[in-house]
Amino acid sequence: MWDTSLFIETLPVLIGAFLKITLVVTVLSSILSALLGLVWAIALRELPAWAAAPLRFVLDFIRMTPLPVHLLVIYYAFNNLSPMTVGVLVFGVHYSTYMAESYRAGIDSIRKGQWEAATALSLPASRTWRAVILPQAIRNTLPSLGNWAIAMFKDTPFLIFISVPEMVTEARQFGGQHFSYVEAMTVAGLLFLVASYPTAVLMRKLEKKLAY
Amino acid sequence: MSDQRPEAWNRSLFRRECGPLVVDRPQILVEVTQRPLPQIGRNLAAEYAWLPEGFNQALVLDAAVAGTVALGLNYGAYGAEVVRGSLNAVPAGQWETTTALSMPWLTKMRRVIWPQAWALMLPGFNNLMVMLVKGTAVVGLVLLADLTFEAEQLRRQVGTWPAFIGAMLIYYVIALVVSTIMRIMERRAQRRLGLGDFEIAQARKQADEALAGAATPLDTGTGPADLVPAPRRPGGGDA
Repeated sequence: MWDTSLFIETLPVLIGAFLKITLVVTVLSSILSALLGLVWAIALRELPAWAAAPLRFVLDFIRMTPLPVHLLVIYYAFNNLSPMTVGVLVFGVHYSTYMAESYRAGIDSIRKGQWEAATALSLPASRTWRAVILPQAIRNTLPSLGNWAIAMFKDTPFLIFISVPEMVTEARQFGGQHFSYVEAMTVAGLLFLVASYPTAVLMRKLEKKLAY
Repeated sequence: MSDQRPEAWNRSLFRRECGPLVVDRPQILVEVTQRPLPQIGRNLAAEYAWLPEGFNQALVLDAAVAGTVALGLNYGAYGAEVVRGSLNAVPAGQWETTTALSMPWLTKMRRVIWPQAWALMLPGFNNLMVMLVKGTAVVGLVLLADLTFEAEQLRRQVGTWPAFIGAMLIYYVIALVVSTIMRIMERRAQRRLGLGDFEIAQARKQADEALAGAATPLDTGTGPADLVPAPRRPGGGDA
């Protein structure tokens, strides 16, 4: 059942796919969603109610519908975009709705006195956010952003839906060609473990360090 | 769908109630099923690999079984954390009292601990159910004709946007219905504990804090908004 030579053969193939697709998508989408999430969180707080309500609905809608459907719809609707671009955009936007909630929790945890002090000093809104609220809020938010990034990393196999040659897809193909899925799937699973476990442990450490 | 709860319940009780010898192993199980293998990997694994050939054939034949088992294992692992967190969130005094009264384990669980923990774990299950509804979108990969799969077929006839927006609306409505039902159940569980509106608000706050503690940092991985740990307040004294 287990064939070591196949195992060795599949290793470079999958590591290549891992570095070229999985990692790239994860990193780019994480950055995109961290930025967008912050924008949503601030917009929901600053916009007047009539504008915030539809935004909130859209974010909820995205959050409560599956990622593969988003991938498919953007992939088919904008067929001038490359599958990789679609992947990065969709992952980025989808996860930004989760991250927006994390930011919101972080912002909510800022004590009222901080806002009041900013008002008392008549700081302009932009400066209040930039110099007072965000530095404290982001400190609280960072660990949970990391968790979302790990979650996103684990969701990258969804790229199979838009035929990006991502690691699990490659593993599947390799298995099909050699009539044995065990080795390739094991390697794929191990690579995920090798990448995400240390990250998770690091996040845990970071969180302890950042906690007051 | 429904296989998530019993499994979660078994694993986490196992983890909480068994001696130190066994305690670590379910943890490893939880970590492993939860994290490193993403769902699709696990779907495929259930489909192709893992098992000796005989079993393998048996599972391969039925995509529905593969899908159900894979999703059940995946979300069961998250559920285990919710259950564990909620059991831990039941105040220590309650556990101690049952010991002081030398209640048998079953009575203790059934009459004292579980009803309280149940009310605390429902919000977590609520989130998980919503995640699960969304998670079913992957079973198309083992060739189950699920909603996403059908939407993709329908696309050629009615166009991309109508097909997928329709699918999303259906997912959205299902998720809304599920979470409304869960919320009603939560309220019922709390009423049964004799909690009024004020106490419910308090209990919810405590549960959030307890769950946030239990669910950090990994479990909030794909946990939706409500499971996001409430960040610690600076200092401790509130204004």
